This record gives sequence, C-alpha cells and structure tokens, in this order.
Amino acid sequence: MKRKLSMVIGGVLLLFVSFMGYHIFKTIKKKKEIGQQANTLPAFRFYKQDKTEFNLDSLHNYSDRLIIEYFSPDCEHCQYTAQKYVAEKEKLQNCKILMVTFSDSLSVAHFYQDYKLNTMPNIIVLSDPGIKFPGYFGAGVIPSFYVYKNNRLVNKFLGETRINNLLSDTLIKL
Amino acid sequence: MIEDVKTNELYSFRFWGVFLVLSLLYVILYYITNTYVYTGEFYETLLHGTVDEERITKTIEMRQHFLWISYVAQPLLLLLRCVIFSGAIYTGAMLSGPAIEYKNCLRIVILAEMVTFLSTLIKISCFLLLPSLSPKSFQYFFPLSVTQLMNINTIPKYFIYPLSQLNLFEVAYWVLLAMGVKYFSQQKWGQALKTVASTYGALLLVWIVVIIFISLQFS
Repeated sequence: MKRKLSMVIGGVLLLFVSFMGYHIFKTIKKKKEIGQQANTLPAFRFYKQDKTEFNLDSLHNYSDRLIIEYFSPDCEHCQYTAQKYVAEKEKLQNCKILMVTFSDSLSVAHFYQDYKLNTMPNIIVLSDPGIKFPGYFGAGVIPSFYVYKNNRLVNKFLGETRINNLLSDTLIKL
Repeated sequence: MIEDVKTNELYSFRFWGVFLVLSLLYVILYYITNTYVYTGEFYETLLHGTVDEERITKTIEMRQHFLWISYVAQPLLLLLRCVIFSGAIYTGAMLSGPAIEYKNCLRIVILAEMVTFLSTLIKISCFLLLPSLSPKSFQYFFPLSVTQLMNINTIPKYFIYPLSQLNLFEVAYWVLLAMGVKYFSQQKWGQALKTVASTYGALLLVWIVVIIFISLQFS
C-alpha cells in the first residue's frame, strides 16, 4: 500500500515537472524565434477603434521612429506614460506611436479622452482582441515598448521607461 | 554512541521557542536591511536612467508606506516553509520507512532553517562591508553559489534563480534535514538523504520549475 502510494505521488510530481519542463522548453524556443522575427517590424494585424484593420501596409512604408507600446488603460504605469506623451509632445513630434491594448473599446475610449491623446495626431490606439501581441513581439509585459527606426528594432523596454529612452538611437540595456 | 547523544541534545528543544527566536532575528535583520541597504540612495542608483526621478521618489515613498509588510511577512513565510517542508518529510518518512512524528519533522526543518537565516545574514553583511557591491550587482549576488563562478550577464534572467539555488548553504540545508531524518527514523545516511531528496528535493524542483515558467512570461 505504502509502495503504491509513493509511486502515485512520485508519478504525479514527475508528470507535473515533465509537463512544465516541456512548456518551458517550448516557450524558450518560441521566444527565440519571435525575438529574431521582431528585429524587423513583424507583419502584425491589429484593429483601429472604428474596427478597421491596421497592419504593416497601413504604415505606408513609414521609416522614421516608430514606438509600439503594449498597454492597458487600467495600468498606472501606462497612465503615467500617456501623461508624459502629452507633456513632452514636442520631443515626440517626429515619431509615430502605436498604442496596442487587448482591453475593451469603452475603457480605451475613456483612456483616450482622459489623457487627452486626441491632442497628439501621431498616436494611434489599436485593439488586439485576440492577444496576438506577444506572438508578434515576444513579450506580453504591460507596459512594454518596442522602438523601430527604418523598420529595424532599436530598443525594447519591458516595463515603464523614460521618454528619453524611447528617443535614444543607441541600444539601452537596463 | 557519542554522536547519538550529541544529536539527541541537538533536537531537545521546543519548536515554538526556536521559531520565535528565529522570527525575531529575521525581523531585526530586515530592519537593518531596510535601514542600511534598501535606502533611498539604493533605489536611486538602481532605477537611475530607467524611469523618471519623480517615479523613483514615488517608489521610495510607496516602499516606506508598506515597509511593515516585510516585517509581518518574515515569521509567516518561515512558518509556511516549516509547515510545508515538515509535511513533505513526514509523508516521505512514513512511506519510505519508520514514520517520524510531525512535531519532530518541525524540529528538523526549523534547525535547517538556521542555514537559510545565515545565508541571508551573510548576503546582507557582504553588501554592508564590501563597497564594491553596487545595488545592481547586489540584486544578483548569491554568496557561495555557482552564479558567483559565472558571468551573470551571460545567463538568461529566467535561469538566474535556479542557478542561485545551487549553493553551499543549500547543501548544508540538505545535510541538516538528512541528519534529522537519520536521527528520528534510525535510517542510514544514504537512506536519509534519499528521503530528503524525494521529499524536500522534489518540492524544490517543482518550485524551481514554476519560478522558471513564471519568469519566462515576463522576459
């Protein structure tokens, strides 16, 4: 009886560790692939607030600084960043900012209004209802920032960062 | 015979007495840590260039506000570790040989927990005594672990924690657990170590796997 019970407990633990180990291995492999793919602007597909599709073609070969932020209207760091965008809009006037979220359109609309993002025509708020963002860019951390120039990844920041970091041309390792 | 008498003396203490003393020591250690290590300057150095100055100030203020949680958490975490590891050893001993009473399992674990306290004490002392340790390097400073032999910048972040667990304190922890199991269940060293590996070791493995999995989601 004792032997059977220890075999069952051992079996369950082994099964759990193997299952998790397999997922870890798969995630590492997938992240490596996505990381390489995200070095150049990936072929993403998100939706504008009027529900029309927004993809790579919608950028019309835009080659200047493109900041892609994954955010949530409820996230305090994202709210602070939105305030900083507006406060430092002169600095950001030569950039295009895509703010991508999986949140519902009502909270996005409130966020857009509350933080006066309508004063910045270079900001486009996009929806990602299928949570595809991590699959395109590698991480689903909120907020995270991917900075592209000439379609090449210049910097990425997982977590809140300064506006100056988003404008840097040199690789910043934090 | 002499060894048995010495071990007998080693385990002739009340669990709750040692638990209270260790909890108090942890609270004192965390008070020293919060006062002399995790200072405003520490966070300013650590977060400099990452976020705006006003955000660093806010972080420091928030930390001050919730500082009491770190003191309350120490005894609770210690109790949680004791309860879980004792439960594992109790089950393991019962299934593999002569059973050990749960109160004795608690004694085994709390004695081994002294090593965990010692490792924390050494880590904090190193930061206070070695001026070369910057806040950034302190984050990944694990005394007597294999990470000290490696260039931490070349290790993926999700592997730092598992590697930091390969340290001499962990070895001492296992030895102390095995010593207790050997004494209370009259097993041989090899068998006692096997019991520790299949109970505490298995839990540690599960914990590490879960931590890697979570870290991967944020990297």
